[in-house]
Amino acid sequence: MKSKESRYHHKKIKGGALQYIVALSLLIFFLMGMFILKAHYSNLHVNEVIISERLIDQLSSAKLLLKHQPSLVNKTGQRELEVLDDKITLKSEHWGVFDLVELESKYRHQSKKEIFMLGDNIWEKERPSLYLADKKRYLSVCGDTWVGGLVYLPPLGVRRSYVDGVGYYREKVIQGEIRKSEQNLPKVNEKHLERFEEQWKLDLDGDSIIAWEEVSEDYLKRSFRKRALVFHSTEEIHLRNMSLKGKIKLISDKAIIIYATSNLEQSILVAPRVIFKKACKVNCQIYAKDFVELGADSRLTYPSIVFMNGLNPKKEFIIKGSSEFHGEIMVLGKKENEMPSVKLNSDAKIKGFLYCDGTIEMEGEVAGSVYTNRFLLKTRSAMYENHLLNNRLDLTDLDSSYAGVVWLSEGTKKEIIEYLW
Amino acid sequence: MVKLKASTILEVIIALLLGTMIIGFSMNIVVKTAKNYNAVKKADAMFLVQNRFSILSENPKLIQDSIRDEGILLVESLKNYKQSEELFVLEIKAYTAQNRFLVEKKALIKITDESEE
Repeated sequence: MKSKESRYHHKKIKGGALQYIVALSLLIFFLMGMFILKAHYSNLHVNEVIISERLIDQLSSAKLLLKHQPSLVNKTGQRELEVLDDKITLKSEHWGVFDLVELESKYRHQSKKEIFMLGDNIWEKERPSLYLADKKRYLSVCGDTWVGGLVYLPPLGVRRSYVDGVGYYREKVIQGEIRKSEQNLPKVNEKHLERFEEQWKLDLDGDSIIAWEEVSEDYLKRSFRKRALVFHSTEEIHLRNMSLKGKIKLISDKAIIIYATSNLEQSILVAPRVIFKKACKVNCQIYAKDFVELGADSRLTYPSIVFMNGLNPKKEFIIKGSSEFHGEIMVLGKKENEMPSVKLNSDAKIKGFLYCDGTIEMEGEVAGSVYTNRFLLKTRSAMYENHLLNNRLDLTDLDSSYAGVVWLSEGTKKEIIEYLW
Repeated sequence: MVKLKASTILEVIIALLLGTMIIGFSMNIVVKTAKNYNAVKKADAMFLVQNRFSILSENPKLIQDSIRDEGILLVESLKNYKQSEELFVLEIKAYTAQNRFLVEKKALIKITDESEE
């Protein structure tokens, strides 16, 4: 009996169901809390994604609207844009002949920004492969020349010809439709001429201006969300072993010389003379008054611009052998008896647009449009006027996604050229 | 006689009552939370809406007033954007089978003659 009693004393059974249930309820509450928290956070996450999607939709709608209503970016500055249900902040400014647009859409605590370069949709209006002004001369084609697409020619028309014993090999002289051209080339829209002049001015309030001589770094980059970095020099600027990326503008009162060891992306170069040495591979906009040269084996990638204007006589743009230019070339500034000229050496290629209010010495090919007063062809024995020998001019060679500048009228639609940072 | 320490009948009744209440209350919260938050359903609806939106952007002729898919009701509408002939507002709203709103997508799309064909 004693031993039984002591056994019960050693093995105590604890009672108290209430304590158990309180402990259990605490555990259940803890698990419940965890479950509610998980449900809440996954819901929060889904809501964040939904808001993010809404912002993306707002931005894409705004971009579509900008493409279809170019007047929205005609004025520079910041304003509110009402697209669908939410308001979008639109900030626009000029970057050379293109527009820089920054969009910001906000909803609740989230916001999304996008910045991009806007050009014109060149395919909205009919574009010719060739516009040769009527200077009472006909166009002569020789060798393997191919002129495709719509062509504007002097009323005298086109004929087959021989140059140094080389005749014309093809059946048709022009592969597309022929229309009559006017005495002068179509005039360039005034707004582009204003933008050319804008490039030479130093905007002391809007830009950060630094003397080029003070630059010691060899790698400069500037976000397009910030003010432009403008480097100015009264002397020649030599770009060797340097990299300039983003919203950077170089202005020289004399000349800018770029060597193959340099890298330029989206920058603007402004100088009377701009010279790219051999084998340069860059992307930039060039505004010059006297002379531009693209050295042999060089490549100016899309979207590059060469815009020459001003009163200085004998402007010249030379693209040396085996070089490529992707973008728009506008050479203006004709004076009496002193015409600007463009020289496209053999194996040089232009993809885009070439307008020269003077003469073009054409040895290479153009995938795009060419506007000129006359062609010059120099051989060892003679010089020929309005002769094309083994050239290819065709707008249909140009990629249909190409967006550039509508120079000769007001663009009816815009296109995004590239997204910036 | 040996006395064992255990719960009284009152304790057991209170404990049973409390336990039932706690479990019932918890179940209620679980069901309500799952219904209110509906994160999985929303995510599903979002994918459906996205998918439908890309189909309709490509081919607007496929638009329907409402479409039921995986227990989700999609209500679609296409309207002219202001006076534009090319720009349209495409809106798709998703609801549950019980007509509870889940998500919506609304954006401008461009409709050309080619896409209509």
